[in-house]
Formats: sequence, C-alpha cells, structure tokens
Amino acid sequence: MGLQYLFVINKAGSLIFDRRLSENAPQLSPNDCLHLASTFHGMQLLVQQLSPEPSDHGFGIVTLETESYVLQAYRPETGVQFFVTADLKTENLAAFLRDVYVIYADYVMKNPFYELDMPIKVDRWEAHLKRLVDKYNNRVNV
Amino acid sequence: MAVYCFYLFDRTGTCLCYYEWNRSRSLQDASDDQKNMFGMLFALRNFSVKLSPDPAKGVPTFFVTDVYALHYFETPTGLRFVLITSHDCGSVDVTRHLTDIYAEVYVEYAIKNPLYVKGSKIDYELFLSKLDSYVRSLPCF
Repeated sequence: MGLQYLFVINKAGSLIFDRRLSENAPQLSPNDCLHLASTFHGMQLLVQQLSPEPSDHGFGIVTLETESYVLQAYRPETGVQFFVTADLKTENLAAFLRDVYVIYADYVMKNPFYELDMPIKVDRWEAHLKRLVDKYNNRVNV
Repeated sequence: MAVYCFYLFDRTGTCLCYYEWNRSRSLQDASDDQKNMFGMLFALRNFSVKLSPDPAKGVPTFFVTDVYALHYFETPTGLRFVLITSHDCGSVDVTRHLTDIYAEVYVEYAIKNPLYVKGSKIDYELFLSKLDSYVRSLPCF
C-alpha cells in the first residue's frame, strides 16, 4: 500500500507539477504526464455535464477506482486541481491531498518568485512534499 | 440512495439501450448525452489504463463525484455497461451488479432472442421490463 503519482493542474488544465512517488507506479514520460493532465481536465468538465442531478459545487470526479489502483482528486475554490493515485485500499487520501494543498499554499503561493499558473519549481515545496509523503507512507504501512 | 439511469454501448459507441429511473434533471437531447457519455468513457478508460501499474488491470470500475457515482463494466467483446447511482452508492458491490445484468438480462433476453440483430438498438419489452425489475430489486435503489 502506498502513494503512486501526484499531479497538480492549474485552472486552465495544464500540468504544473507531477511526481512519481513509488517504485510500483508506472513509468510515464513527461509527454504522457502532460497528456494525462489535460485529459483529466477535459474529462472533469464532461463528467459535470453528464450529471443526472443539478450540482451545487461542480467538482468532477472525486474518487476513481480501478482493479489495480485508486485515484483521489481535490479541487479547492481557486480552480487548481490536485490528484493522486495510490494502491488499492489506501485510506485517508482526501486528508493527504488537503495536506498537500496546505503546503502548496504555504510554500508555492507565498513564494514571491513563483508566477501563477506556471510549472512549480520550488525547493522548499519539494522538500516539504517529500516529508509529507514519507510520513504518509509510514503511517499507511504500519 | 437512488439509481438514476443505465446505458449500454457496443464497441463502436452506439447506444444500444438507455433507461432512466428517478433523475431530476431531464435530458435536452438524448443522443447528444449518449455521445458525450461514450466520449467521456473512452477518455476515462485510456486515462486510467495509462496510469495503472498493471495495464491489464487498469479499466475503471467506478467513480464518485459530489452528486453521483458511475459504475462501469466492459466485456472482452467491447460492450460497455454503465449504471449511474447517487454518490452514496459508490462501492465495488454495486459495480458487480452490472456483471449480473450482462449475464441475466442482456444474454438471456437480448442475445437469446432470435429476432435480435447484433448491434441494433434493444427495444424489446421483455428485455426492458427485466432490466427494470432487476434494478428495482437492488438494495441501492
């Protein structure tokens, strides 16, 4: 059990961050990642449109499950989207994404050199993310 | 707990059957909706297979949004069964019922019907009433 991939997409649907978090995760080329991110963004719009009931918030997919992994997505009000894939039966993914959002707010958004909607290349964000992932994986594996 | 609707697509994307129960937002254009649904499934399937650690097991089983859950089952022949329920029915158990719909309703009342031409729309009363009663008997209905 553990996390596999983390993606961050900006509100226009382009990829601003991706990270492979485990050896189990598939090998994806940078091109694949860009492709997946924009597919996901487009799909979210369709998913909302296909809703049989009117929606108040207009999140799209929140959890997606397949036979080999689960995906959890989180979209705060600002329109940025975070999604993470993990092994089956991994719990508390929503809480993990919320923690990721907190460090995103702290170390990316508060960084004066970061330009909005551009790919994230911030050392402190990466360091904190790594710490968060390790902490999470340890808790899951115990 | 509610079941909203059911779609059945063949491998080419033709909607063989659409049936709805209690959905409150009615469709403006059914054929548009079916095309969008198939397009979304197509994208979703490619997306999820690509992200899977084991490509053979990457087909989605269900997803949940803030309002609904979509359950997905596909056969090796390319038939796609889709059941849309309220979001609190998001679990693998509901998805398994689609296998039963395939075996007990589709095979029995469409495939075994001598008048049924493969790939055409299924509008036999017997098939639809069996589908209806099967879904109504589900615990999540």
